Amino acid sequence: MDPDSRWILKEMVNQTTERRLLFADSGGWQTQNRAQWQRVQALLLRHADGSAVLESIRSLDEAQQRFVVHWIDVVARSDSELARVFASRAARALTLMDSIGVEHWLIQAMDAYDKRGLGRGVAVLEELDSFAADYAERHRQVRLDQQLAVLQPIVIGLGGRSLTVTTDESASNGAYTDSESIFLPATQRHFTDQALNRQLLLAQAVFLWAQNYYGTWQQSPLEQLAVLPRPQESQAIYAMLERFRVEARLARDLPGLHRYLQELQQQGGETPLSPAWQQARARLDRDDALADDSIALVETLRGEALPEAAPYQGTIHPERVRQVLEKRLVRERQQLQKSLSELEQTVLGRPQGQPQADDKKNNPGQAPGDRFSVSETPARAEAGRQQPQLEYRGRKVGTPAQVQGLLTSIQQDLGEVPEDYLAGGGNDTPYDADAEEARDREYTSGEPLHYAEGALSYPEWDYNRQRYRQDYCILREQPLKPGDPAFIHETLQKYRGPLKSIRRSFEAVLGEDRLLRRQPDGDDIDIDALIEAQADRVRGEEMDDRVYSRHRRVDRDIAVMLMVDMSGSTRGWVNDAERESLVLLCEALETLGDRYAIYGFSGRTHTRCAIYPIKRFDENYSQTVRERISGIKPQTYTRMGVAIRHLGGLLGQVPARTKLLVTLSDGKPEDYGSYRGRYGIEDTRRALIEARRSGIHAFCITIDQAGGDYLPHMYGPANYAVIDQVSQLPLKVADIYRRLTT
Amino acid sequence: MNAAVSDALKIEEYRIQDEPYYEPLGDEVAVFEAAWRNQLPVLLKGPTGCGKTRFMEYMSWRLDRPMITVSCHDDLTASDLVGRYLVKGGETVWVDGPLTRAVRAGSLCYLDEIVEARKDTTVVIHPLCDDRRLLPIDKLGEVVPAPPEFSLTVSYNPGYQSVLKDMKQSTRQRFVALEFGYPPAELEARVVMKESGVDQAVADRLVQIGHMTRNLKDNGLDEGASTRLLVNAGKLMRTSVPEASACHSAIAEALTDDPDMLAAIRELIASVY
Repeated sequence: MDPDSRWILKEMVNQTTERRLLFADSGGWQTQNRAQWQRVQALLLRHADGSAVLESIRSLDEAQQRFVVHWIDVVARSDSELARVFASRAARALTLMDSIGVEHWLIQAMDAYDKRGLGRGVAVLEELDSFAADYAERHRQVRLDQQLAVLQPIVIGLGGRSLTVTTDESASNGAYTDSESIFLPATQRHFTDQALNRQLLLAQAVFLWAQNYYGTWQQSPLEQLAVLPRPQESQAIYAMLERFRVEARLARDLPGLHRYLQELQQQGGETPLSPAWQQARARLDRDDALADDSIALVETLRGEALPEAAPYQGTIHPERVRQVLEKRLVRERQQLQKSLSELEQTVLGRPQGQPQADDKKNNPGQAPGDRFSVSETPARAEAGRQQPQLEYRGRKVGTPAQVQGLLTSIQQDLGEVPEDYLAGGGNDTPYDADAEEARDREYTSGEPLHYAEGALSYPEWDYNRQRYRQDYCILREQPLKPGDPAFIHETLQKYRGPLKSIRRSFEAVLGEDRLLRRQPDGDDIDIDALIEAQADRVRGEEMDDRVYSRHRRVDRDIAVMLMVDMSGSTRGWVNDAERESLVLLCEALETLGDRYAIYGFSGRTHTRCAIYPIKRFDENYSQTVRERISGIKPQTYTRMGVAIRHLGGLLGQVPARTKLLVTLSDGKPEDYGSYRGRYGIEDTRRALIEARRSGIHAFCITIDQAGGDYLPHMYGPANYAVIDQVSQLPLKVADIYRRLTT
Repeated sequence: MNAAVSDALKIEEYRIQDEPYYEPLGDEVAVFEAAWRNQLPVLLKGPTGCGKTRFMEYMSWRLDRPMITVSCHDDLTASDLVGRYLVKGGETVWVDGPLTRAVRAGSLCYLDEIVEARKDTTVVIHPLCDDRRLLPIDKLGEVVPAPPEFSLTVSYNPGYQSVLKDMKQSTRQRFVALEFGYPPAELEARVVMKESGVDQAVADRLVQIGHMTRNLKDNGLDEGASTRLLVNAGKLMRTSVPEASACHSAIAEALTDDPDMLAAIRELIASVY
């Protein structure tokens, strides 16, 4: 190294050292951004408090220094005074907010500066404290609706009765459960930290699930609680005792969850329990402790100071639980009895059409309760933990999911499944067909009858008589008034993104249709491949054996009939969702080239059933069809059987290998008069069986959450889909259709 | 070519030597045996991973018959089952397909997920499944009668919603049907212990997680975790993968891609540990 360059190097070292002195010893990164540093330093030192500001920046850690210097430099390009004010507050801002908050604060100031000048910009920067407070407020809370997609499956996955996670006004004063839903606050802001608030929301949901699961709301303790003196005090003590008991159970069954709750509890700091409470808690820690034990302990703790509530504990509303419970007990008992007698008839092969009453008369010793029993009824302490197993005449039988759910729920309420619950149906009120007909007549009298020209008549299945009522339903095709074409346009706009992916996924289905060349086996000889192979052979090389071609065809020989429920209950957003679904599905079907038709159905009484053609099989997806879709309006009732018979007939005439009848619905079949409950379901089931016999596959898409109770009976176990959110309907329908037909 | 495979056994000569581990759920072993003796084909119904294939291996061992398994896929044609002409050195040579080999050798033939196969396969299955017990080979102009030891078993998952994958009545009514479900908790825990080598406590927790995911069927999941997934998770744990992360990889990620659902299952898994 020559003397000159040694001198230059020495100078550089000196300069660097000086700079290091100024900016303390925080690593070498300033040297990399030397120009930026020099600019910022020069800017700040121009002012009297410059060195103090530099000092404050120096006290930050490296990443923060880099952040602050970067922004000072950026702001300085607009205004040096604004940059100076920012620099003087930056260190403090970083103690109040994270860097994202500081950036928001600064950008707000720069916006103000751009629009209204320096004075306003500086003013924003000076309001640092209120901005920070505001920012903290906004960023600590967690919204329930953003967490639902995770919370709901967790609660269902944990087991027991399916609880719905939702919110209501009173939940903001404390999360609670009514034994069918878990009500959480719409926004959670208990802690200052967002992550903790998210944890808290989860903790509240699972804690309330555990209350239900471990029997806090069983009928017996609930009744005892209601008669305790000084209700408010008793309830508070009971809630706390139950918390300890439920936590002890969680510690044993779900240790991870228990630890999670404890962590949250410790956030609040724990105060030691009084001796009386310690004793009570020890009693409830035992494996066999029940909610009844908590009730018994309430009296011993009167006058004692209540332990501090856990943040996730929420509150209790025994009154609301009682109301819900009473209704549920009646409902589930009926449902179970109905399901069991159906199970007996269909699955276990007891002959159809042999009413319960006869059975009782003929075999007095064989009450239905003797036939069904629940095995391994767990001890009450174990209630809700084990799945009850159904037995029929002492033999285990496969329990349908719906019955299993009922048994679980009943056991959760009562601690066991009482024997009288297992006594089959028998409470069907005797059915008087003539009276029903008289009532129907009464309703239709005075109005023009439907027997006029163009009307068609169809039979209807009467399950009470176990035979058809011939020509009972009078049906008419009625034109639909065109609706606003703007609706179609808006829908296409609204779902622009999803529509693209729907089309793409449908095209992928089509893409499978092609000629496969160079196959080892196939319908025809691939001449090109054969020539090559022969040439190879002549040259003495190994001959390729893949000399066939095969036409791989995805025969989309499918005709689909879409049957749209236009009953009055679809009024409002269900109707919108139905129409949107049709628009999206039509777009998709056009890509696919499947033949399809759309009909709406409704009606009032058997003499005025109506079918509204929206698109016939031989019509194109034209402007007229689009206007009809947008013109779909809720009408009256849902007489489903006759609609299926009519549309199934139309579908049957279409020459296609696969015929599909898809129903879009919002509930059970129901019409004015007798056509409700079991009657409607049985007729619909019958109509679907007829359709199946003529080679039609039926599928139902419903938004009725209770659909699982009756759809398997009507459509068969796998032939339906329940959409839990109406807003999801348009996106799901196309997806379901694609899955159905690939 | 012949030299290359001389050490290997032909598939129809291969016998399962050691008793495969199988826990009966009910009387399926007796029913299957009776069906086999009466030369009736069997249909196994049930969700994926609940032990259908293991049952077949067990029966193959128990009856001391070789077993040929064909996993059906949506491009599987009748000639994939029966056989085809292949070009070898400028000539065409007939090669038997797995079904033909099974018939000729009188072994058990197991067609897994039969509904996935193309419709033309029914042409060969139908005559084999009724009292004719014949395998027609069109391209050879031959008919191969099945010996009494031959037995055809197909499996089918009724949970599928595709109308194209529905099993026709004319097909299904030829079979004796056995339904398989997930085993009860204690039995399942025993299977998990035995198969993966974890201890009772670990197996119990795995079964607990399995039940949680099965609660989510139709509530965001198409299918709950099968026994197979639980066993897989157990195996990972045995090879020193921490329990929670084994469950996450072997169960949660295997079940779904939906981020919300994954988050939910992650919490459910965490709740057990």
